Amino acid sequence: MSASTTAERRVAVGQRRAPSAQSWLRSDRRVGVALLAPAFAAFAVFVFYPLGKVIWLSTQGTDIFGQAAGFVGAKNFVTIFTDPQFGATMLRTGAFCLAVVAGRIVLGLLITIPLTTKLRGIPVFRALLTSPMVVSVSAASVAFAAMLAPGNGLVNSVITRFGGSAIPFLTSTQWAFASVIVVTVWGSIGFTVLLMLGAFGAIDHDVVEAAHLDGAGPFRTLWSISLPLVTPTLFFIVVTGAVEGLTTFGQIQILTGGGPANSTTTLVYNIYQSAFGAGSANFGLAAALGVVLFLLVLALSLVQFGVLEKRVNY
Amino acid sequence: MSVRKRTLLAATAGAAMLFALSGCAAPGSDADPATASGPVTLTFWHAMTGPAATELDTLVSQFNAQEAGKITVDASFQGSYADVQTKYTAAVQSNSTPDVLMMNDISTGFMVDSKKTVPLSTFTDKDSSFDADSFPPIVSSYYAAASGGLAAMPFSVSQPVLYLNRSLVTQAGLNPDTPPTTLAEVADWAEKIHASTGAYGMTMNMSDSWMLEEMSASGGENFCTPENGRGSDKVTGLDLTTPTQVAFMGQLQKLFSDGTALNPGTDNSAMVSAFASNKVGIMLTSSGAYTTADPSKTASKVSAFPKTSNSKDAGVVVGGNALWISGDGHSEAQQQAAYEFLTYLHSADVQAEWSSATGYLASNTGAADTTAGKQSLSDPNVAAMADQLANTPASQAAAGCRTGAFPTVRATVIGAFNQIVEGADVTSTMKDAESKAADQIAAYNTAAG
Repeated sequence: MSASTTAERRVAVGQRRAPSAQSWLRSDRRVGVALLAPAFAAFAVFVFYPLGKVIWLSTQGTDIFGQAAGFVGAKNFVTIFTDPQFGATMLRTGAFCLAVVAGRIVLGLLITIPLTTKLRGIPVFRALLTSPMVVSVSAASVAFAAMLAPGNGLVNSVITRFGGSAIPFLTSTQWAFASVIVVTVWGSIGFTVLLMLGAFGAIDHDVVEAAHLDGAGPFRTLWSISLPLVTPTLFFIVVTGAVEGLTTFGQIQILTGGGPANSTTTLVYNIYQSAFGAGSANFGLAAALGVVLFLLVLALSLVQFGVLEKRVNY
Repeated sequence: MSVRKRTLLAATAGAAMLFALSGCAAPGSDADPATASGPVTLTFWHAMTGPAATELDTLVSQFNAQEAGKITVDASFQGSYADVQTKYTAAVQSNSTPDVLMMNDISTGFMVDSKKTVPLSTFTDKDSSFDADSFPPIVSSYYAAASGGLAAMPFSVSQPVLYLNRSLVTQAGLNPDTPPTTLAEVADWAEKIHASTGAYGMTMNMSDSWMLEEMSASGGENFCTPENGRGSDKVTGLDLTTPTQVAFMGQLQKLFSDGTALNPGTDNSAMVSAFASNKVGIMLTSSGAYTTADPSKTASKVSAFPKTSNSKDAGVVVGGNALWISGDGHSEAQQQAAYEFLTYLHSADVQAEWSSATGYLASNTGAADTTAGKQSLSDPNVAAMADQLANTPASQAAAGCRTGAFPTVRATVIGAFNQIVEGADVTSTMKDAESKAADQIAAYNTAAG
């Protein structure tokens, strides 16, 4: 997009300057198109074609092999929106996003702010606290599943050793949802802290010093100087956190399989279940759910850029 | 809107699409079934892992050596049974199905509906050396073809059994050598074990509705209607609210809600390791879990799965997997070679070897008379499993439900049961599940055409 914009500007400038530049401009445009082609081809293959195919599939019935079996109009969407479970799934997905975003921001700040101080050994803590970043979601989930296991998991063994009664972290509808949120936040906290450390580190010392000279205490400096200056990073974390929340899959699949009693089934997990959940192969319904998710992510992004960004200091 | 903002927006929208759409495209491959002349190469997809995978590779090598120059089997692991089914549906779309496919018990309905395989009976009818009575009766009825004979070759057979942790049971003042035989007795034992040892009294698989299906069968009740799909009509719904079913679900509800029973959630291996590490007194699970549940073979007592009523039809449904021969796109020579491979795997010696290496029960009754078979059966726990299999009546209830929608409705039923475990009313919750499952089955039946 930026290359063609540049080319267009050059066209405008060139026309004013000399008519002989026409041929040169055409070759410039060709170069622009040539440079764009690989990216466009990749987008066409991996984004536009699948998007078109999914929209088409969402209007199709499906046979037991997942093959399109004729036009059914809006039937798949009617199935989705008349399913009493769907509303609950959407609410759960929304709650999950909010919790993941809030967890990342609050916990991230609580970890990052002490790390910005210049104490001995802080680099070690920085390295330790950003380390979850390098652990894959699947590996972390398997480890958490083992630790939170109801029978002889580490956490429950400790709880019962000290006289408490075992907590069904992954097997009760009250706990499973919170457990998946905690694991998700844990998985993304390393990257969040890294981003925040960068943002806090980039704050101009002169500004902070000026605040000190004017008599601002550490809390006031944080609230009125540091936090406003890191809002672009916080905004980035909110956007990526919300998208992450909407699209979380691995943790749910490994920890709870969407259960118990659907209490951890989000929209993405619902798509997976419809398409690949033990022998389902209902690609028509899954595609329709995919279209719903796409519109949702798009709408969320638009809202975030339209509303939230106004509060960001660049 | 600034350029930067637009770029960000476009990138976000692009990423949104990618996220939203990934996972919706079916994988495919492009293998081409060879037209056979000379040595036949067979592709064989399976879902075995661990010791079973190693043993299967050994069996395949033995077969290849035996048939050198004539048949070569190319075995490949394809993931879990669900993965195998997903890959198989993709292979059907791209005309690249394997010559031999291993599929698990509950996908039998789907395989029959797929109409992409040749019933085993097509080959056995022409093979005078084949002994149709070499299967335990309940195994034959599970994999029965509508046209008579077998639809597929039963390969790995398992059944649910009851495991007692000898140490915990003895501590509770109970005798492991006179094990409970009904679910009511199991509940009574579990309460006693929990009260006197502090360990969990019992546990069972909760990752899907399998245990509820088995308890229905062990009460002589059909799980699906009409006739468990074993009559002339397709299954249209589930039966989850007969008096026997409501009664046993009520018993289980009490055990789970008062903390006597351990709910392992979706993690079956955590359940088995909890039993092996003396955290649970009684475990209801597959006979196939024996080697991991009790590596020493002396710490546990294995006995028949508890009955939930005294009906004469009561018995437990077999699980495991069977081998299917592909039809469409596979030459007659390939199909015949595939049949030879299957009869090799069914032979008494191979089944005895397979059984002792994996913990599956032999699908060939002749395996008991082989050296390896006799050695396996000298373990009283293995003998108890074999007895249960041999004594299971070939009733409709014990034959189990057959519908291609089975994998889908299982999730519905276990979801409802999880609500019951947390205190929901048994009858009304299961009525809701019946109605949802009926919709899912109707949708499947429409898709199956």
